[in-house]
Amino acid sequence: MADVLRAVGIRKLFAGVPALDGVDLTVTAGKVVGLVGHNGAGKSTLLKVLSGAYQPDGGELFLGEERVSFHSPATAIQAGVSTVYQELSLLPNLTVAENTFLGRELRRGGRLDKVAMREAAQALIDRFQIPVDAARRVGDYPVATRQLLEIAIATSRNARFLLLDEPTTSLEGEQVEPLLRLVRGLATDEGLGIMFINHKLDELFAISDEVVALVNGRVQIEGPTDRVNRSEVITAIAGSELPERRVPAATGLATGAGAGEHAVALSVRGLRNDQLKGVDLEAREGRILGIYGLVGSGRTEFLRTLVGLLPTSGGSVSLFDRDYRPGGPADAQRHGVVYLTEERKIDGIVPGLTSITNVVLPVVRQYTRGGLLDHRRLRSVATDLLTQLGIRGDIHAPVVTLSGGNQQKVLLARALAQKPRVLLLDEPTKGVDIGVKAEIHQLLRSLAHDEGLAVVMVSSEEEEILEVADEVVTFVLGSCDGREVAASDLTVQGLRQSAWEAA
Amino acid sequence: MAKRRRLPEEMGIFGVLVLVALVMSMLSPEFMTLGNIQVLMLNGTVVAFLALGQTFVLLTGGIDLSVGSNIALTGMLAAISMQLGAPWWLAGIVAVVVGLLVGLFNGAIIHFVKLPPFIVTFSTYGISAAIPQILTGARSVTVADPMFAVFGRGSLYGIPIPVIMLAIAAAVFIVILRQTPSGVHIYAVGGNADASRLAGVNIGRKILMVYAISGICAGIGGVITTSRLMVGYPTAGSGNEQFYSIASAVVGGVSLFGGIGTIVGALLGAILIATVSNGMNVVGVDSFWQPLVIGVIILLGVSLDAMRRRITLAEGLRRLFAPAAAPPPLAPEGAAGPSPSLDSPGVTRGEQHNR
Repeated sequence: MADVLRAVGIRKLFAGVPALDGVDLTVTAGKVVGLVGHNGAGKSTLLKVLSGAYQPDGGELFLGEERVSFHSPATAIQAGVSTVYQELSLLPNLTVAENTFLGRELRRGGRLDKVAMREAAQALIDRFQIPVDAARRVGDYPVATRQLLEIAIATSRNARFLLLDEPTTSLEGEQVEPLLRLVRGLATDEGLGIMFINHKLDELFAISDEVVALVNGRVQIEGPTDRVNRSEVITAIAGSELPERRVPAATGLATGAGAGEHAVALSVRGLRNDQLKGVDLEAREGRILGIYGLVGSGRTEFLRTLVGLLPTSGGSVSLFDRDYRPGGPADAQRHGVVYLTEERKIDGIVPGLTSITNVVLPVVRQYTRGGLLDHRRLRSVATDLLTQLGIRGDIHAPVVTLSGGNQQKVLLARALAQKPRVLLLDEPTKGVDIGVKAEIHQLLRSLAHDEGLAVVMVSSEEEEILEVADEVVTFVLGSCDGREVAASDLTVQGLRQSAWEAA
Repeated sequence: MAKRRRLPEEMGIFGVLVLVALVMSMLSPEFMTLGNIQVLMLNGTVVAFLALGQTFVLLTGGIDLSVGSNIALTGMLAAISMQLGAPWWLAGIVAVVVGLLVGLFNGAIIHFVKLPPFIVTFSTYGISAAIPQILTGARSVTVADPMFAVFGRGSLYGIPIPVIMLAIAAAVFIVILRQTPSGVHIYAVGGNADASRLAGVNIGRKILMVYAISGICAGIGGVITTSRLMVGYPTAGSGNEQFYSIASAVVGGVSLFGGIGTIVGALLGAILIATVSNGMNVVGVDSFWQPLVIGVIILLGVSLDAMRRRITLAEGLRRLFAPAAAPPPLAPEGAAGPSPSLDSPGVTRGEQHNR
């Protein structure tokens, strides 16, 4: 029986860009390998190659001494490699037993043997000491318990190797412990080989036997956990080999004035809800506040809370020194707070409407005469904004016919049409080409520094944060201490370090 | 950048209508007579009214299955209120107000209880079908006031009053959809509800509005139906009207998935359906065939709708909106070299989506 799952020289390219550039990794039976890396370092890609979801462009996989190739997740599972993804995959409307035997139901005389399935499922979950009744629906249990069930059921398919993709992301403090115990037990007692991806270094160091740090698609550090230095790992993922250069703050003269001289537009104190664990920060007029953090650290949720899309359960927000509790985007808009979504296609554009209509959608009520639309003024308002943003394409055609970058300009024009005083931007240059990106950066600077808007920008790209923002705050696991650092004092490495050290 | 004039989308359905009319008039000399055209229009008005209301609902991505029995409910209540002594005009108002209330009820449940429109309006279909039967013991109620006949039988300069009412309603609806903020919002809600909410559109108000309009149209349909027969039938409208109203809108290019369609299209669709069923009568096709033929027409219309949605959006919209001869109105750099790999390697994208 194979006791190692080995990846040798794995390469994987996306559009010619290597995501994995010759990765060697060994998962040994009875051991936990902790895999860390920055956003985009290739962790998920590696996991998908090992689980059969992606085919590698180079390199080989071995189970024991035997060379294998997983054409699909199903082949991997048959070979004994099971994967638990971040998103819950159990069906909430089926029972625990039904989920356990989904697709391989036990039968007796042509009929489902429900009793046998329930007993087997109950035996499985009892063995892992998960407090669950196999006859009840999965949806009856909280997320933390379901996460344990996901792992237990994944192992039930004769798994010898288990790949876990950030299983603790959605869990609260005290819910993490049982999961870590389960993972540890699976390795030590059941002899499974486990690969565990996690952003939280404390958890990772607590349960893994070996640590592997992935940087830009290569293994940068690997070794037994007790021999690996935690701060070395942080330095590695933060990119120690990056030149110690500061990204020039292109903010020019405007940054000369210290942040303190600008009036506070938005002040957030201890903001909490399901995703936010206490956020403190201040955004000032005439300044661009950059929000940095790892994926899933609550940045998007924070911005969405500020326009009333998510409820708050604690803390306070004040806008120009007045209490601010937005009832929804329309209400936020009345207060001068406008949000630009990260997901252009999901809640950004209305695809079938023209670019012009997309721009004026939030403000059509303001351009009427006797209750009827003043088409001429609406068109000129939209056209002016779109021209100012340098749109390319037919603005009278449905907005989906434009390229991604031009669609983004349409959304920016929509935000500006609302005459915001506070502009909340979520990944404002996601999926746009370099030329448009530079134009958007220039626009944001001018909005803040020339027109005095308070701009809050979330970005996953360190270079973008350093280039565009005046001050930077960091989100870690749903909270933000409000400690601002001038972008000009930061380096890419320092920024990454700040996001990891607290993790 | 000059505004590009595009062929109206309704040209297709208009062409089909002309073709059907030509075939029918070749098959039967009676078809193109003034008398028959009048009958055709008159028979089509109730379905057309329902189709106009249905268009508003479909544009938001909903569906109103209650309009058919709403006709029976409102038409009966008009007859009953006259039986109780109300003047003819008040009876008309009663019917329209009841229709409006049914629509508001639909909209309120759909929006506030967050139930699928299909379920909600299917339930109100049952409820409003039962009420008139309960009230009258399933007996019909004769209308005594001859003035009430004006809604269904009257005419002005030879044009039937119902057709005039339909024309007025269509004009008002076109203005609402094209010239008011609410119109823009209705298209936006159907095109992308999440984006509309983020843009500050009050979605609840729009949902209430479209079902209310559909209810009003059903109320007018009830008035016309009762007025033409001068009898309130508790089972009126429970047959083909419901089915045909959705068919008209969809055949006329109103998308079942929301966000696409026009009043003119729905109106042409209703005329097409009326022409097909009238033509089959005139030509002498057994009436059992009618639902079959109309069913096939609906399937074709819906399949076309589904297909145009399934083609990649940019490509599909280009095909849909651009005149065949003109070059595609595309952003030049959108079609130019694919450069996204430079700033967004696949991995980064993948991980960012994980949130």
